[in-house]
Amino acid sequence: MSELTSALKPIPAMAGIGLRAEHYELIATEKPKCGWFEVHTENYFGNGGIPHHYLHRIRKDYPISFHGVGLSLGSVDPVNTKHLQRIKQLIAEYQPGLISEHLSWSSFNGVFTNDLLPFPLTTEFFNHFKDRVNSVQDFLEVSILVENPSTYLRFKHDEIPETDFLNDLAKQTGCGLLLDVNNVFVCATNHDFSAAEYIDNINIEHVKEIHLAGHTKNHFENGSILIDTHNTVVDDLVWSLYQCAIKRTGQIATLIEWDTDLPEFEILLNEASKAQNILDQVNVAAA
Amino acid sequence: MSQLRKFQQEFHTALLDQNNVKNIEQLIDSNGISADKRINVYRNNFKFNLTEALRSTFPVIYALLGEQAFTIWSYRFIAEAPSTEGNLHNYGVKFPKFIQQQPEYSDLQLPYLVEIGEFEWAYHEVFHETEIQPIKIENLASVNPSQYNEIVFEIHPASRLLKSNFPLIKIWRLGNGLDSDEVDLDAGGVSVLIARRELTLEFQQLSNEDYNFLRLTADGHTLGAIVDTIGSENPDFNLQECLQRQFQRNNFSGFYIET
Repeated sequence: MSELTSALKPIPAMAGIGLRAEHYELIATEKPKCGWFEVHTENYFGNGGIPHHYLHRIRKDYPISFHGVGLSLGSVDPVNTKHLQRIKQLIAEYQPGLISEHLSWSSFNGVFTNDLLPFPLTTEFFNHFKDRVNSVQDFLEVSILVENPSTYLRFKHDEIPETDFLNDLAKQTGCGLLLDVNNVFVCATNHDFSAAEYIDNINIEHVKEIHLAGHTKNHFENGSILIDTHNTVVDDLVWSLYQCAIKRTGQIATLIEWDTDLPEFEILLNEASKAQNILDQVNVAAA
Repeated sequence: MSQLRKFQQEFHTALLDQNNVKNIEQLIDSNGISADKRINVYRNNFKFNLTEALRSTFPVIYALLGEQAFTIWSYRFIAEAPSTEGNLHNYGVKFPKFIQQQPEYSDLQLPYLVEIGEFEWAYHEVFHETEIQPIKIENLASVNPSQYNEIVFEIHPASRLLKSNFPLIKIWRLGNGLDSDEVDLDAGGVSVLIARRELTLEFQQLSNEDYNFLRLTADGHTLGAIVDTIGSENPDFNLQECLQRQFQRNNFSGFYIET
C-alpha cells in the first residue's frame, strides 16, 4: 500500500480551505495565500466542464486533497465499484496529497440517503468496516484516511468505545485517521463525554489531517442537539479543543470546512489564518 | 440476515417512513431527547441534502414555485424517486416529468414548468460534459468528394438540442435574475442548442432547418440522407451555409464515413 506522501504535492502541515465553486475564479486568478485546498471528490464525477477546468488550474498552484462523501463505506450493500473506479481515475488525474472518507454509511438496498448515518459500535460492524477499508485501499492502491463522525444518537448495543474502534481500524488496515475536532465536540456535547479525553484516547500517530468547522444547536423540549452544519465560523470551544489536539499531533494539515450559507472567501481566509497562527505557535509535546 | 444488515434495513426504513420507527427506536439510547426526534435529525438532513441538490440543478423552477412549494414537491420526489448513487450529479433527471404528475400542477398556471425543467436539466448536463476539441471545416479536406454523402458528423458532446412550446430562453434568463422584462408567453417556442465551448455556455437559437439538421445528425444520419429529408420539405435548403454555421459555432467534434 503506497502512502500518498509520494504525490507530487503532498499536503503541507498548514491550514487549508474547502474549495467551493463560488470561489473558483477568485482563487484561480488571485492565488490567495493558503496552504492547500480540499475538494469533495464527488463534485468532480462529471466528465469535464467548469469544475474540472478550475480544479486543474488550482491544482497547478496548490496541493489538493480529496474528501469523499458518497462512498457509503460502512453499508452492507456491495461496494460500488463504478464509484470507486471514478475516484481512481480522479486520483490519477489530480494526484491528491490525501484521500479521505467517513466512518459512516449512507445506503441500503441501493437506495442512498446521501447523508452520513450512525452505526452501532459493535464487533460485527468493526469487522465489516475493516474489510471495506481494506477492499477500498486495495482497489485504489493507496491508503485512505477515515474521519470520526458527528452523531446525534447512540445505540444501546454499542460494545466498543469509538476511539478504540478508530485506533484498531488504523492499526489493522493501515489507513490513517482524519480527526474532525468539531465532530468530537459535537458528539461530546450530544452524548455527555469529555472531548479532551476522546482526543487523548486517539492514537495520534495515525492522525494525518484535522478538520475544523462550525455547528448549530437544535433546541428540543428536553434539551438540545448540536448539528454539524458547516455553515458558520468555528466555535471558540472548538478552537480550544484544536489547540489541545495539536499539542499532541504537532503541526498538521488542518482544514477549514464550510459547505452551506457560504460566505465571502475573505471569511474563510480569516478562519484559515486563525488556524495557521495556532499551528505556528505549537510546541510539539511528546505524544 | 446478519444483525448489521437487519439494523441498517430498520434504520433506513425509519428514515424513509416516519410511521415505521418502532424497531429502531428500541435500539436507541434516548438520553433525554426521544429516539424519534433524534432520528428526525437524520431524516431532515437527508431530505435537506437532496432538496439542495435539486434546487441547485433547477433554480428557475425553485424561483417560480417558491421555497415552500418547491420543498413539498422535492420531498414527494425523494420518496417516489430516491437517490440511487453516492454521486448526486445524476439525481433529478425525472424531476420535470414528476412535476407534471402532481395534482396541483394544473392549478399553478405555469404551463411552461415542465419544459423549463427539461431545459435546466440539459443545461446541468452540458455544464459537466466532457472537454473535447471541436473540429474545423479544414478537417474535411481529406475526404474524397465522392464520399460527401456518406459523412456522419458527431455533435460536440457538450451540446443538448431542445424544441419548446414556450420562450424558454427568456423564462430562463428571468428566473436566473439576468433579465427583468416581462415574458410574452404567446411569443411561441424556441429551437435551441444549449452548448458549452470551453468555459462559455451559450444558447444557439436555431432556424427550423438548422434544428432539423442537428436533430438528424445527432440521430446518426448521413449527410446525404439529411439533405434528402430536409430538401424534400424545403427545396431552398442550403447545405453549404448550414454547414458553415455549424463549423463557426464549433458544433462538431468529429465525423466518420459510413461504409
